[in-house]
Amino acid sequence: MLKNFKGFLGPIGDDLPSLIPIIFGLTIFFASFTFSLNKFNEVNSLIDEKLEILKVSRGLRLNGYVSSHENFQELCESIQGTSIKFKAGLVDFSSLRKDSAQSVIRSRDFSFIQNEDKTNRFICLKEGLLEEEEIPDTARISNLVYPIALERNSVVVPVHLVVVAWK
Amino acid sequence: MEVKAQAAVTDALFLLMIITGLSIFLFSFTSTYGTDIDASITRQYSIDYVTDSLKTILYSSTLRESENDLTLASASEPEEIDYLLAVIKEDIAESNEDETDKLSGSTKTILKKNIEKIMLPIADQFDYLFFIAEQTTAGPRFIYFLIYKSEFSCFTVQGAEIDCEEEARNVLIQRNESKSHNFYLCNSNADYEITSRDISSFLFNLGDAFQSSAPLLLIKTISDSSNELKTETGTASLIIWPATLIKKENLDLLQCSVFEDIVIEETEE
Repeated sequence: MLKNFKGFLGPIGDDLPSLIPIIFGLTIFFASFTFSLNKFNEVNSLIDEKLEILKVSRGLRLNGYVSSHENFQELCESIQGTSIKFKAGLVDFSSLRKDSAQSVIRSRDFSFIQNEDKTNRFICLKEGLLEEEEIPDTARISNLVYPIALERNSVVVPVHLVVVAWK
Repeated sequence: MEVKAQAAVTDALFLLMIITGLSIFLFSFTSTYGTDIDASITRQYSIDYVTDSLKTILYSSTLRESENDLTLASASEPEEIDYLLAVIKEDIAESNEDETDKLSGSTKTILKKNIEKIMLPIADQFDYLFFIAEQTTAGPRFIYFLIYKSEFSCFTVQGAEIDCEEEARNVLIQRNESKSHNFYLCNSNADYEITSRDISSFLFNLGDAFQSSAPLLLIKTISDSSNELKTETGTASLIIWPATLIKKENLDLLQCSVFEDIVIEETEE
């Protein structure tokens, strides 16, 4: 009898060594599960943002031709239901030096084109956003640039549509 | 009792093994999650850009009496302005059937400047080609064929500059500092007309390329003596691809020469 009880730690005590890999395994599982869940959420939110900015730019480009400032404003009003904040407008890249065009995109220091009588600019903002509102440093920003044909005094000039979006 | 305790440890180790497998699967799945959608969004952007670029090139106006750029400022000035496409069609209509060079030097320059301006925001990352072709019974005949190409310099690991055409191993490739990009005018050999097959072979070596095409109607005079006109179909195409090293043999396939060299030569003649 004594021989049989040698090293016996009780019903739980005997299973104690098996608890170590079980706890270790569960920790690994829940850690990787939480990590994956966070990653999925992050990627989903990034993709949603990209799709939203594509939606904004598609609405503003429509057929790649802007016939007047009024036409641009109509396009601008049609894209107001988006969840991201955005600042978009027409920029004349040809007025910039070739090597400075890229740095302008990076710095987002755009000077948007004015209409014929210089009373308005070709700029479209998310509803409630002010033109002078700075983009927060912590914001995740996306830029998109597209060529667009702008009609002015019956002359068609190639310019670029710049869309800057952030969340 | 002793046997039961050992079995419990083995069960736990099996559980740990299964969990480790599951975690590895989760990690590998997570690391690639969204990359396909991201790639297709980027792809879609490139397609949208190339489509809009072609549309803008074909819609653009130009000055009639000058090779200067038409800017927003000059658009309000009282100068003779026309659609760029109208100028191109005019050149084609006025050229002879057997003439290989159907566009004038100034039209070529205006078109190049216009394309350069439109492609400026992506000019650092992408190279591109633009062509106008007329459809003949023998296949497309390329009237204008422009390539914008990044220029690279190649170095050995020791830092010595070598010819990029050499098939050497462990070569460092970087942007050419003196001339980062060049425009080439292709189909420039009067003795050989490039074909669609040559373009396919050229594009085959580039990897991912994004193309947009638009149909054109080209009007031509049948002969100088009569005013009879005939309408032919044509195509304008723009293709972009991420900047990559293109070997000379590939450029030779399309009979390309540096744009400035050809156009200046033509102007002097």
